Amino acid sequence: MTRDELLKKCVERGVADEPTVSSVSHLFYVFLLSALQRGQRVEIPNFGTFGTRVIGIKRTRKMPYFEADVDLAGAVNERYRDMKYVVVGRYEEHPLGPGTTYAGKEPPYDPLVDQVGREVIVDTHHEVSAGEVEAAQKKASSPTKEKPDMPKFNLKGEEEEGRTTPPALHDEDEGRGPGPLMQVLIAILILALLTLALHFFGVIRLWGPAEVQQATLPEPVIQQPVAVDTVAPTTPTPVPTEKPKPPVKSKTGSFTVQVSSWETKFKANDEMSRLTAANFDAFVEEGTVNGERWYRVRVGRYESRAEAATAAERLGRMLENGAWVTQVGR
Amino acid sequence: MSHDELVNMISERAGISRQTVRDVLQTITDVWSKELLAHGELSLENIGEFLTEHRPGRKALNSETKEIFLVPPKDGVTFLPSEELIEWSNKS
Repeated sequence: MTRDELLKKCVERGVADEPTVSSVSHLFYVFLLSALQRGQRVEIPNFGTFGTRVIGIKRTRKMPYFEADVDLAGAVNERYRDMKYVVVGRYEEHPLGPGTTYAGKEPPYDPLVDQVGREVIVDTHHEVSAGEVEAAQKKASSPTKEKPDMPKFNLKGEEEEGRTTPPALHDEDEGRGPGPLMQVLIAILILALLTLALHFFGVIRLWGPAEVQQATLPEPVIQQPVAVDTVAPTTPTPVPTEKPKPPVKSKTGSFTVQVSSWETKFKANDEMSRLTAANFDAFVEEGTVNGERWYRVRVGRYESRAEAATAAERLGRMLENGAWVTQVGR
Repeated sequence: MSHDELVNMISERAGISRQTVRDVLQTITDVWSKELLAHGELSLENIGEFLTEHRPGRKALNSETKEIFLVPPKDGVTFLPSEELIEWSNKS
């Protein structure tokens, strides 16, 4: 419709003279463009709303759109106005669930468009005519009551033709999953695996030697200087090898030497037993670091820090990770 | 921009009373609507083209409630903006 045709039809209705209609229509067009340029919506009652929406990958381009008013949309959709959504069924997934093979084939990727077993198929691409929707709507609005089949009693004891013996009952649970015995066995297996995992990570101790492998820890060797008499050489006498002196034991000392620290008590006790077997006064102390509990393996108690430092130096030479002085209870 | 704001702006710019502007706009939209309903299409100069479009019914599935329902057919309005309107909307 050109602008002249619009002006002619409006003037025919006698709403205003031609210059007035012309200026109003021209200004309407101008204000519509300026509003769309600013990204605003323009509402026109009984007709619709103009607006712009951002499109494109970079979201920089605007595209004008029009939403029809309810009155206009209703007038356009006059013949289907009374039709509404009709629920006709319920989607049911395949009872065997995912992972099932169908006649040697993989299950379908999209069950909505494939016909498989007892699965309800919803073909959303298929067009539905208006007649089908009307029939479904009528059926949904007036549900027919079906007569229930009453049981027939044979009181006279007459033999009915075509009557056969009822089929043998079969197990209905067949194919629906594992039975109760299998479920118990699976539960026991899971518990056993869980217990083994806890034992493996050292949380609990099921079996294993309590004795300590001494071969892994080197024996403490104290090298003593050999006295050489230069004035009167005599026959060299073999230096008697002395056993390593145990560290100074003090039950009341506040200093100690820390050897290692473990997250589990089992590993800490294992380390302590190895040190005890090597004739060290080892013990385990619990401590908390950043909210986590640690088990510290410590050796000896000393009255002064100097004594503890000497012992830590000697221990550090024997152990891989070294040793350091700390205070008992910290 | 609401209808009242549009009427006020046109009235102030053209020096016409608000009631007259309101009546003229109402007449213009009436003419547009009747043209669209009568012919199924309306082509406006420099604005665009309005078309009535038939959308057939179909089956659909509500994935939350698992209900299968029929969507009835519908006649709707489609708007194809003119090149001028698109260009003007993207001017900065």
